[in-house]
Amino acid sequence: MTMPIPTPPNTTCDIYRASNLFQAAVPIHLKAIYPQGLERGEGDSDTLKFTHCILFDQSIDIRDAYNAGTIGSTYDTLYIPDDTQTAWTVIFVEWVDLGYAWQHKRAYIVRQLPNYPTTAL
Amino acid sequence: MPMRPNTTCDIYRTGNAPPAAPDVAGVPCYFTSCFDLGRERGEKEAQTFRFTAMIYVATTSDIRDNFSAWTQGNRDTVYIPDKNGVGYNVNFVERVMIGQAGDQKIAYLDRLAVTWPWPAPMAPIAPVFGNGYNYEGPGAYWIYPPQNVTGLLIVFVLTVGTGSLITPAGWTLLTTATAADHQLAIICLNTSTPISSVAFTFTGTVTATYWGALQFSSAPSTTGALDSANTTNGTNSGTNSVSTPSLTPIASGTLVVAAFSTLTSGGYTGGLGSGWTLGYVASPFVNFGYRWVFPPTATQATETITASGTWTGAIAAIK
Repeated sequence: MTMPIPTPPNTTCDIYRASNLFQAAVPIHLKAIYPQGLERGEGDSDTLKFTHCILFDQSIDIRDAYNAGTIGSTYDTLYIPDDTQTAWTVIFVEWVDLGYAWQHKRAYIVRQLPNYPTTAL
Repeated sequence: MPMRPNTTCDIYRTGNAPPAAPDVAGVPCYFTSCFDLGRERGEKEAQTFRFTAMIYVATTSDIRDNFSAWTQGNRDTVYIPDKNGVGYNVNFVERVMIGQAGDQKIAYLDRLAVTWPWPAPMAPIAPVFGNGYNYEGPGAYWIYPPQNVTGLLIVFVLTVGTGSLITPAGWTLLTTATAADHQLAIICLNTSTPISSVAFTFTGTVTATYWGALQFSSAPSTTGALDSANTTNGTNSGTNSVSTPSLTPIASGTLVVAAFSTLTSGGYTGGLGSGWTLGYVASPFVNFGYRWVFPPTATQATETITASGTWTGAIAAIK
């Protein structure tokens, strides 16, 4: 099926895996959810806390390093909208609406230090 | 179960793990991810009580936690959609809506590490054409069979312009003589190695379609039996014929398709009967036939194909 995610892409990202560019200009829908991330993650270590989430097509290969509540070292790093801009770390990847025509993926991510001045926030 | 399953899981007891056979295999379930909710609920609890996903299963499903008044022990792990998929710890099981129509179990799961790339999930592939899949224009499409299968046929009815149509290779494009505004594209996954997903891409000026998938045999054998999940598409063929008892009357303009597997050596050897066109897809394992009921305007009661030899098959009507 195509990528019928309910919210269409509003930006792109470059996916880095093990410090290497894995895929460039990947369409994603970026959502800022800082208050939600603070509330949800208040009992968690910093490695599990998130500030944003992204929705993206199911065929896109974005990877986390989650394993039963611990975060390893093999997670992807995203640069939104590209690798000249702000970096985000991938905390968790999951499926949304599995089994429906619009099934897609969601990733919870945490923003890193921007290169100010910037609008990539 | 009240929630329509959107996948299955294999259940393993403590001490057992893939690639060994599961303790309970192929349990239908409704899977939903909930990492966000799971971080909120139980935020001060040990990870053994927290969750990143939930599955709804029938009350008869034997899935076990080891919860005992906030202690946790040797709980089950489940793998979705099967032992080749992603693993989850079963941190809690509960039964809800007891005595009501929604009576079922809910299991709270904590995901284990993924062996990337993520194994294909399972969106049920409708054995009846046109059920569950929508064409949304040129682009990339994926299909995830309900299980690792062989013998999967995917059919498209398309109105197309010039230029390329479907990639990658492996597709066969046919045109019909009686419906000039349609073309028929088919792909047949003729593999003895079970597959769990297939990807393909439409390009060019594809403007309309109707499509679906027909799994006609997940385990071809000489017994001639249809896949149990697909029996509504036609009678059990055994040998020689299959008809469309559940599709009558067949309206004018209907495209009737049949997928069948010849199990004798040398491939297909029979005839499909008057009006049928044989599309050889990947002899000898998979054959494909189609016929337009178009015109006459009158409906007809049944459509039947015949083939010689011993074979399995399924038949369906689309459009």
